[in-house]
Amino acid sequence: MIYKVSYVIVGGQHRGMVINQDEAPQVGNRVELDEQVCEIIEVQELVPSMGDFAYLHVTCRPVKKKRKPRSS
Amino acid sequence: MEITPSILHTADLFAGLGEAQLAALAMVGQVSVFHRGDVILREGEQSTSVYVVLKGQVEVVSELTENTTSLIILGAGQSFGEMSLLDAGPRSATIRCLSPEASLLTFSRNDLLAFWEQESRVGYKMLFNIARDLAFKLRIRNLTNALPRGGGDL
Repeated sequence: MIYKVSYVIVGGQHRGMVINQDEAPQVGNRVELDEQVCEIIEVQELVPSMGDFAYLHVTCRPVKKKRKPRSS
Repeated sequence: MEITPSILHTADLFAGLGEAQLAALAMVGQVSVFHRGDVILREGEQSTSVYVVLKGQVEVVSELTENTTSLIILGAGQSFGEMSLLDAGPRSATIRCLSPEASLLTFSRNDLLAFWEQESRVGYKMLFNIARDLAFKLRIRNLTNALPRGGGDL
């Protein structure tokens, strides 16, 4: 199954993302979106699956800022 | 980057197509490689190609107002440019390469329409997939507009 996933981050301060992936997103998983580490808080089936494709909408919340490596 | 049916199989634009059909389509399209910051297409311009992201990420940018707004990121398997493919109108947004490198499969409108003329079943399936993708995008927009803003908890 291929999962077409729309990710949004609560707060509206980050862009969302749409991507096809071969693993189903799960609540509690962490993902990196727009250089921001996020926790998935809701997974919703947007429309019924068709053929090899599932259509999901995932809501995330930011958990921490991604730190840039320090240059020495 | 070699285009194989297994790569195309993961893009929903090609859902429902068989290996022979995917192989024929791969011959119609061209692979282009972009680098971070490259403008792939610009809002308002008259161009009608359709693109599929094979690898990497691109961002959709609106330049309608004085402030440029980055709307969403599109990753592997996503297509864009289909509105101009359908109505030959100007581009509705700017698309920029976001990842260090992105590989895109590009179809010119004329080549694709000619292919669909010959392979009408492929044309039917791809047009259905385009319509389904546009419906998906509309549903996302409806849901996203309903989300709380300003950093509040759900």
